[in-house]
Amino acid sequence: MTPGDGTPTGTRELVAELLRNEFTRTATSAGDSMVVPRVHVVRSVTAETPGVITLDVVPVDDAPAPFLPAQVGMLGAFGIGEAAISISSSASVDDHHEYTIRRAGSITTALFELAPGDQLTIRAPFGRPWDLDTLRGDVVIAAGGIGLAPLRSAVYALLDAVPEGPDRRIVLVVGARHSSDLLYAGHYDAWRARGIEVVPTIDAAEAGWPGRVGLVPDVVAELDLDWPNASALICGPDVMMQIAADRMIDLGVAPGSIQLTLERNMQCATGRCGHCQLGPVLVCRDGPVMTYPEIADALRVRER
Amino acid sequence: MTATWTMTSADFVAMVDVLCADFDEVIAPVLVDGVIRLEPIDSADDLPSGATDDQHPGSYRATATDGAHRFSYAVGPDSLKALVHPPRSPVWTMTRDDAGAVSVTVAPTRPVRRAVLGVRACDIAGLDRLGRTQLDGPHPDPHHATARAGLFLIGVDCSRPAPTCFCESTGTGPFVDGGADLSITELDGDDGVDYVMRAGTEAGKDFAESLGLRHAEPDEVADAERARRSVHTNGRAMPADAASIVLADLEHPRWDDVAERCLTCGNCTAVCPTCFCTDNDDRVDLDGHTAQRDRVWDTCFSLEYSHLGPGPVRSSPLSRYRQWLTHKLGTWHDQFGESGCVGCGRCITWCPVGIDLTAEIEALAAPGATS
Repeated sequence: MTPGDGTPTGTRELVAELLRNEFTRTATSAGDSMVVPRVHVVRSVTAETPGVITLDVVPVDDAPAPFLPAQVGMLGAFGIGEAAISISSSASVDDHHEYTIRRAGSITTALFELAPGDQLTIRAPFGRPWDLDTLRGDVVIAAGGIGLAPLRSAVYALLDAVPEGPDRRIVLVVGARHSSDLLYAGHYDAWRARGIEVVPTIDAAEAGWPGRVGLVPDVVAELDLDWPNASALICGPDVMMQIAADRMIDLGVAPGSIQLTLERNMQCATGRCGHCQLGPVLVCRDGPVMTYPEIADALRVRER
Repeated sequence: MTATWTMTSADFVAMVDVLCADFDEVIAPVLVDGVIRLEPIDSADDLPSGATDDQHPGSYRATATDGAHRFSYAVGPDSLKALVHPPRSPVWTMTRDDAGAVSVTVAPTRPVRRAVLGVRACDIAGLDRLGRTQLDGPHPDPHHATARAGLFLIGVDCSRPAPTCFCESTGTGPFVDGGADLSITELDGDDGVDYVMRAGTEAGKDFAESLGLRHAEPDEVADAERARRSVHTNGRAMPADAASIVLADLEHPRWDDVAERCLTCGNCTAVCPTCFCTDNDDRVDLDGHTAQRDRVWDTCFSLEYSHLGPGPVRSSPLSRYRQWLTHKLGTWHDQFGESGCVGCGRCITWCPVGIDLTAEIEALAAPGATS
């Protein structure tokens, strides 16, 4: 083996092309919306739950870029940094994008201060989307807390799609610590009216709460579905996704029919900075959506 | 047949003068503060003639010899990484006017024609592997591509590998075999040293021909081949199945053992020719109207590296050392199709407590008590 053996032809070709062009190709990034931030303006800000807002944004120059459910944008807080936020609006609505943001650190705190008319930069969209074409049988959508944000675009896509058959059930289980933390609660009745069962659940009993009390994986496991033919989309904390997936597999769901979406620290969102690694995966490049068998081993190791 | 030339010591000095005239910058080994670094040079006088080094786990000393060799040492802390992937580089500038209108100016790529003299085989491999991480994905780094395209590499065969390096076992040295525009073998000669130089690319051949050097005779070529193939690394080795060893048992007790020694300082990632992780450094001017982003080297040994809302994913030193080694030797294959290790041994030499990844792999290959 020689030192050059491992060189990918892609690198060689790119370098060769640059050499041929005698440096005239000075910006291979031109037109790459993940490298060059695009200036957006805030149209409206919706207060969702305590500490969670949704920004409705449009680019100042042209129409928003098309995206697919679960794809992500890097939202820039001027001079502070960027946060990776899922696009939570419907992919079939092409005149604006919505981003649902939980205030957690300095960047999201700065994004919270944005008001209608304010400008911000966004690099979007990136990442592997939900594979909605392979959903079969009954569909479970399991969301923990802010995890409903990257699932909402999937909910919209399923609402738009022609139902597979009259017996097919689509069940959305939404978990939150308190009833006041249930995300998009004002939308649940509209989704129910269009055929999606919505089961909100909270971690601990509250006076006057008429719904379920319990953790998302437990509530999911109590559903009476055609499990061997079911499929699932999950988003929440790592351990919640892992337990929910394992419970469904115990009930007979094929592991490969379970998709989940991952969150890791992201700096570049272009697959080059290394931060979003989870075992073999670069989440921004290979995810955020993964099938459970692709990532189960890495999730099982503490602090992986 | 490969074009091959001979050079006397005086020819070499003249060649460096031509390089310095032809290129925007010539980078070569230079003895700085007791360490052989890669630095810009003005003439062959800047090279560490007669210097060598003494490297061991956690220890580096540059020392003098009474010889005239210019390349009789192993790699210092610098690889080619900083030339194509700088420790700090501008990404963009943003302005926000009084009305709140934001505009973005992406940092322009700046073509520099840069010759690097005395590049070792491991570092040529490292440059390729680093390039794969930054150029082969869906969003190649234009700055990296531009800097790479401007490099003219003159390799040199290792004549004196350090006790810490192990490129023979990783198939990445010790002699240069591809990947450089030209490569040199340094030999004992009448003026102290002679050189045999081979072309690796058309650009290298054109440059060498322009120097008016004498083509090497077949026996001179054969002597140089014998000389460079007689050099071997010192027995340290990375096993061929390192990837499966490192990923076999992530709860192996050896991970606890190495975590007791690791200071999580990140020296290994700084000197590694392929460690590519970066962070964004955003700052805003006092007037609040201008914001600048730089890309800076980061290390998976820092707590901030894996920070998420609830805190770092990898809070224990164990998890951070394990991330580094499993990535370097294991999951790098999943992500980029090859190992991230080229056997240069820098992480061993520059580790303040002398952690030796080949020893860690050997220990991890033994069944763990918890397995």
